[in-house]
Amino acid sequence: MWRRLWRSRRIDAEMHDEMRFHIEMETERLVRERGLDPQEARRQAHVHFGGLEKYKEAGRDVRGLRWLDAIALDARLGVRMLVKHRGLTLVGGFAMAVAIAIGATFFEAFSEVLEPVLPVEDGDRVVAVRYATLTPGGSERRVLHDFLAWRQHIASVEQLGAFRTAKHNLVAGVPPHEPIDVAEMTASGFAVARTPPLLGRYLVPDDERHGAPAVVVIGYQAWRSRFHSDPGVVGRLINLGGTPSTIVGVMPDGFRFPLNHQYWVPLHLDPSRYDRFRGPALYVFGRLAPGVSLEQARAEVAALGQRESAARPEPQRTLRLDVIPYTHEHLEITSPFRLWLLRIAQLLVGALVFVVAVNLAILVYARTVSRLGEIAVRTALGASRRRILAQLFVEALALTLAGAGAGLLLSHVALDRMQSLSRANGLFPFWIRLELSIATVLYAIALAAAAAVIMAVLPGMKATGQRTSVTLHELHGRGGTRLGRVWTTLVVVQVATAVAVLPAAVYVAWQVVRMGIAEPEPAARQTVIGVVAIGDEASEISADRVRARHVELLSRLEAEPGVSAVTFSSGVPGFSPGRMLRFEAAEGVKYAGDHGIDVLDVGLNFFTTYDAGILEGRALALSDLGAGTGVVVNRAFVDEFLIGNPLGVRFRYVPLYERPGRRADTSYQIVGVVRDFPAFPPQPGSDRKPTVYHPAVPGDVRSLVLSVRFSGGIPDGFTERFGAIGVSVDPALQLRRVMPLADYFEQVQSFWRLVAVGAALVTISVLLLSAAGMYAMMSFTVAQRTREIGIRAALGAHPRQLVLGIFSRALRQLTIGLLAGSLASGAVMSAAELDAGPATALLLIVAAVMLIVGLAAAVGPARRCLSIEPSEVLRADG
Amino acid sequence: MNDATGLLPGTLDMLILKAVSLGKLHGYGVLLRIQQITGGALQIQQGALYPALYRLEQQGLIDSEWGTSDNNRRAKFYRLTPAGRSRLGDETATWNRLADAIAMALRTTRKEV
Repeated sequence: MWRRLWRSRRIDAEMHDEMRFHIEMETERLVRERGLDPQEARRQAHVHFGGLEKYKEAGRDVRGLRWLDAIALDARLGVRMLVKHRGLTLVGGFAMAVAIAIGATFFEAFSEVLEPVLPVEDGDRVVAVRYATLTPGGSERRVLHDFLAWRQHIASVEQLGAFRTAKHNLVAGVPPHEPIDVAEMTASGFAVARTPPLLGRYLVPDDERHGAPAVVVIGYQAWRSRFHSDPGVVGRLINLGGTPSTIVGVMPDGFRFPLNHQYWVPLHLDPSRYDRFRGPALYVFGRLAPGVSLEQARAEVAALGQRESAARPEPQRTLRLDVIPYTHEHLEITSPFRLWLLRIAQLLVGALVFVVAVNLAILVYARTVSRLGEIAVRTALGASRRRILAQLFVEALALTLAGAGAGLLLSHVALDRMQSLSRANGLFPFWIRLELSIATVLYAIALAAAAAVIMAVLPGMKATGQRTSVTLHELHGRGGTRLGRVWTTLVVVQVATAVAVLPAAVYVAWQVVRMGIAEPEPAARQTVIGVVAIGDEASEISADRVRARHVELLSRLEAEPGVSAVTFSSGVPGFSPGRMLRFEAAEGVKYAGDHGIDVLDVGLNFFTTYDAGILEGRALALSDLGAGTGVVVNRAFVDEFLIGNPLGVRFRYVPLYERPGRRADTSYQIVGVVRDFPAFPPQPGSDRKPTVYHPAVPGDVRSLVLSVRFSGGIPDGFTERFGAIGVSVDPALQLRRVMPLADYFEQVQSFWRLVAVGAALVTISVLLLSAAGMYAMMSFTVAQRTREIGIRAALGAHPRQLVLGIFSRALRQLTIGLLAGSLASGAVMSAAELDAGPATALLLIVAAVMLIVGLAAAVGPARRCLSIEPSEVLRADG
Repeated sequence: MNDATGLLPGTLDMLILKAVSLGKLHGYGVLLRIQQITGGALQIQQGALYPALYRLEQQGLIDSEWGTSDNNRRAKFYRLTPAGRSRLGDETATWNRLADAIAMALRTTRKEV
């Protein structure tokens, strides 16, 4: 387009030069041959030439540049229409921006997932080798023995390597002394990545040998943040999970292979320690050998897998050996089915724009119909149908492109937030970069163009489909375009759809927004949590040692200045795992059957630590431990399942959902009711989740969450100290996610806040679109009846009668729509299992808004109709 | 040029092709050459020459390039392409047949009917 425009300018300039040359030559001839003075000669030369501009225009026509001028004119007109119809521009632009933002964001995210490129040399030739199970997407990773065999037998994949991620405490450089993700990787991993080190060396096969000195390679980010970019860091000794290791190299900036790592240690493969299909889970990777395609490699390993399947133990005989692109393995796109599912999802999200476009097409149609006269005049003057459709298209494109611009901006912000959120959540594959790519921008423009086609062509075809003479006749105000039933149906459908969908949408959006802005209670601000785990290097620690370490850790923390209480639980309060239970007796229970609840094992001082008052019965006591069966439930539990006195009610867990070996056949009894706390919803709408609290002592829970409560604020530097205390109790104790509970909630919230903004934008755009659609349709319907009203007024009808007539018709359409929509809305809300109370209230509000918008739309045209002089209408009709 | 007559529709293209078939010419040169070879008998609106030139160029019948005129000015020169030469041959044959037919028709006397 720009090239054509530039060419057009050049041709214009050349034509101008050529014609000027002509006139100058003719002037000179007239001076020379007729003896005219130059001024007169020039005048006559111009006369002989004829209209310069006229011939330039003809020249442009010949060269096919006229359409460019037409488009420029249409574009100017389009922008003018945007300014003139501000309401439509705002509503349409906003809806289009939201739809395109969603489309572009998902397109970018899906593209990153579907067509990722590993940012190393020939990254597309790096592959993963794996055993696929019969379950789609499942795989067997305990492949230590097989990996060693594959190294011998697979020829189509070279430099076969393996890695696993382990968490180790790192005591070195700048604190915090926290567990870090370490890649235990074969030296061949560095050969596959083909990236030279920045300092020192990377791992070599000799490092994998048993008895070799412990070495570690660190990444650029770790070097900068933990070691102050010390150029002499190579050779330094650090403590990694209790093992003194020497730093032998620093990798350059951006190197995070295999997943998103900053520390690499050799993977010691000792098959004698494990049976086959036992031992650590490994990811196996390599490079396709030169000249070998993925299909060839796949065929080779499949054949190998089949040959040796008979030698495998029975449960593993059905495993299928496969090669897939490296990037697919880590995004769990391990089967073609999943790949197609993602592609279909990508298409569906893009289709959202078309839903908005069809809605806008209805709005634009109302505007187009009001311009039928103009279209008819242009047609009569010789404009082709294609030309008029092109004009409508360019006008629509001005709107959709404006929307696309705003949408891309929104998408950019959303992608940026998503990227930083995913980075904060551990090992997110390093090659995924959520930022607007050129492909995404082009995709958004294509969506805008497609939407403009729908917006222009649907109403345009209808508007230009009528005979010109008929439309010209209508230009005089006689008749008006009659849409009759079609239009009435559209009004009814628009109202019904809005009423059916909006209450549920508003409800969900509100829940998400509430979650996004919820304030944690004061206890959360005074409490630091930490997840205590046993390091991978110490997996054989006895239960007694775990118990002793937990007890020591608890008492060490209690002795810290300012600490008022320390307690523990099996999960972060409010974020416990779910189970199903069944009540033993029917009395006092609201509904029979299985009920979903959350379960938390807690220390006996858990409720007092969180200021959670007991509302009925008693708190958990020593007698409930061991063989005791007493549990405490929260208020939400009682409200949801029980009638009357909750104390003494007995229940059992449903075995299907029970973890093996625990509480399978025990009958539990409610001994107390505690208030709902923390009043912080882990998910939208779940702030009152029925929860059961079981008593526990240190050591019962192998991986537990510690809560350290302070009497005042949390002292500065306590989180670092927390980690250091853990390491000093036992280097194998890993304290993960040490942070104030309020910060933990904040992290969860920041995700939901992003979703909240998206949900709110979508809901507002649906609301606006529906209201605008309603308004356009209603006002158009009433405007159509100008003539009829005029005649009735001329025949002596009372104005009140006329107004009533207009409103009764509008009301009839609205009522049918509202009724149909309410029925559908009830179905939507019960399917979504929303609370009946708020859902009905929302339904009433949305219905009222629609009614007001619909009637308001009828007021303007009704007033206009009444102010019409009957004589004028009759004259026009004659 | 005062006693010149207007052109028949469709003949301007043929005259331009003929003019440039005699040698490379700029737009003004084409005009002078047509006047010269028609003995100034045909009246051409000078500006109309240019859309016709562009049309013929679009059709690939003539070709153009910028160069320097006799009086050292920058000018655009046109010359006939092989396609143009072939078209000129066709047009000339058609015109001659038409002219002969019309001439014959006009010569016809009552006795010959």
